[in-house]
Amino acid sequence: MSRLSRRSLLVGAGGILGSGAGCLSLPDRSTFEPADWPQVQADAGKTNYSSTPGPVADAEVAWRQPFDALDTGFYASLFLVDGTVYVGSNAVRRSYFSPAGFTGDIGALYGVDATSGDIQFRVPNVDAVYGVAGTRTYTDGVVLAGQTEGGAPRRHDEDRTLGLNPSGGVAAQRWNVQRPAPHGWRGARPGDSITVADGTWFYCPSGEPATVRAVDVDDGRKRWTRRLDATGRPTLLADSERVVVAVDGDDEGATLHVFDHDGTTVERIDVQDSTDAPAQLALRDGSITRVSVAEQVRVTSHDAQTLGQTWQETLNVDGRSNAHLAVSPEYVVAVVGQRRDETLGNEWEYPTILLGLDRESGELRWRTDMEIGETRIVRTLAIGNRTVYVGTERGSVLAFALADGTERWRIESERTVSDDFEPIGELVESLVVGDGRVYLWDGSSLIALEEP
Amino acid sequence: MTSEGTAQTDAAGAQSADSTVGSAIQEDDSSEALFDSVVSGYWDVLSGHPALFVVFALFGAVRAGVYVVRSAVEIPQHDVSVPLQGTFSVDLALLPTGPSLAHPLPGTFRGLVPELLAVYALTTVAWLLALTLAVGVVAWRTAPGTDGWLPPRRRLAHLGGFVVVAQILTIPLLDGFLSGFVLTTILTLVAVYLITRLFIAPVTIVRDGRGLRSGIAWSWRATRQTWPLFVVFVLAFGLVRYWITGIPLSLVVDATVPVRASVGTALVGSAYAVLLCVAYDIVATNYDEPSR
Repeated sequence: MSRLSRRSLLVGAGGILGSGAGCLSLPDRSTFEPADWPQVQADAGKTNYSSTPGPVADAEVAWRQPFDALDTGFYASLFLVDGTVYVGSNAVRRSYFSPAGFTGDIGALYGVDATSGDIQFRVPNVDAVYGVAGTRTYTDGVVLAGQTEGGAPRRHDEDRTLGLNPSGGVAAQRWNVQRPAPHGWRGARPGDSITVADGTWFYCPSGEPATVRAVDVDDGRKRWTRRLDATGRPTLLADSERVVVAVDGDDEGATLHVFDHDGTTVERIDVQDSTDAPAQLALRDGSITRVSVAEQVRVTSHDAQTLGQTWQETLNVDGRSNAHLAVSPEYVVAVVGQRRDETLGNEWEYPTILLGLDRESGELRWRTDMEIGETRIVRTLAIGNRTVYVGTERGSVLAFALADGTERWRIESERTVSDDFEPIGELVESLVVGDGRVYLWDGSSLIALEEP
Repeated sequence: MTSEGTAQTDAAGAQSADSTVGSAIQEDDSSEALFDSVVSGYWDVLSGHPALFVVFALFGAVRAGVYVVRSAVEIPQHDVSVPLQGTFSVDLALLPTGPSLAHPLPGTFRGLVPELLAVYALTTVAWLLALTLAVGVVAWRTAPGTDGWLPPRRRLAHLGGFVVVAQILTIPLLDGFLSGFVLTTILTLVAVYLITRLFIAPVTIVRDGRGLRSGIAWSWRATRQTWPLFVVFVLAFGLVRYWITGIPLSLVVDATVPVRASVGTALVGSAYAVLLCVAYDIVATNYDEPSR
């Protein structure tokens, strides 16, 4: 073999070793900026919290971007990452609201410039969008999405999960794997059965008993699947160490399960309370906060590793069962009101209550009886670093001080002669807080609110 | 190993005149006789050179290694499995690459960190080199009167060029890139025609010492009359390649891909390489190069 060949061999080997060394120090996109809201309920723990402020003293519409989704049955998932608001269908909700009635262009992922409201890109043939995940493999993360190949009736063996380029463009798919997609349940909020942490996408497909799947967001490969000894409505939470699965049974209470990220079961407990509506949960700083409503509002905190209960607070709230939860570093904020089916033949005798509790002790810090008139069905709750935002039906957004629950501002929409609502549409879904603004979906448009 | 000093002839078809397959064919043979000669010559070569399985087993090991490395660094790969395309489909190939395993989607490389792009490029170079060597060894060893395992380096370089060009041009045939029955069928027929006109080019590059362009040109001219003879073989191999992608089940595809790469490449890759050599023997024997 000639000298040149040996040199070539050495150069080649050096290149391979260099590449191997490079692999050991790959750039990491596992964390997000404080203003980002990469998952449907803010983060893996579903805290509905941003450490950046939204509008504090007052608010007005900064911009509105209408979409060709004419039916209010189109429930959108919103995420905010790197100055782009991602808008896509939330198939979990959609599957329960007259899917045959949908019109317009709903099977797509949109990227909207958060500053101007202009559409940056559109990725077609995307039937559900689940969040933006940080990865080791890609410098800008991956949008997790779903696609159903067949038409109605939906067949789960035709589901596909997708990893999409966050900047859209042609050939947006990075990976595409045929597998059962995430599944929702009646009363589910967007993202309830999904969470993403440490480069792994955890979700529950349909079927009983409840099953948890773990999928690598880098390349879409399955990591593990665990079938739980529980039947009911699953909610998934996660942090950098663990995955928490809460399964609300119809009658027999609930169960809490904790797994390591590799799928090893760490703990499991039964939670005995019977509720009409599913409990709301959040995971923050090693603590699970759970809100359930029956005869009373019951707010409990559990250690996320042992599942031992650390505190409990109860309040009498006759007749209300619709709860929403958000958790900041200091506060647990819950809003408790009526569900839509509880309003039939009812003269709205129960006010909607906003509660602020100390996150460490569970002590009630403040309580606000919200005066929201005709719009008292609360659809969504989010908090910035100083302000609590509540979105309701009939297109209203209300803001309260996080420190004491006093009202700061409100935008109440009014019905127009054409039976629409202005300035915000018929509902407020998926509040997202980031960098001085609040973004929301009103059934047909993406709207940004900012301080005047 | 390479035998530069081995007596070679660059005259077109001169080697094939001594071939056991080619010499049995006469000008007035019918198509049926030609077909029989393909089958008999095929088994003659296979039985006479069992070591070719080892060559393609090694190539299969490289393919398995490439798959494992890419999976280990979490470069997305779209695994190919039978159920996605139905029971009957053909997975065509110009070169004896063995069964399809996995390929990236068009968007896989956008945003991929540079280190992983380098890993992908290096593993691609590794498997193209392995394919070039495997085809070169088979074409060289099955030619009468050759010594050693490897052809001269210049011929290997031209063969490498052909392998690179062929692999780039066959990207549109990858699973998932085509959709729709009519479009897929039309493109499949076009691909079969092109393959049967070009698939002996690597053999003439190795055996006759032709360059890349002259090898392709010679293959195109020489197969003008005989290409229909090989259509059924190309389609049959395409079907076998496709079926092997589904062994044993797509549900456990991740675990079985390396096994499929090794075993499938050893069996199908070597068999297809032998087909190229036999086809070359027949074509070269029955083709009269027009005088210039």
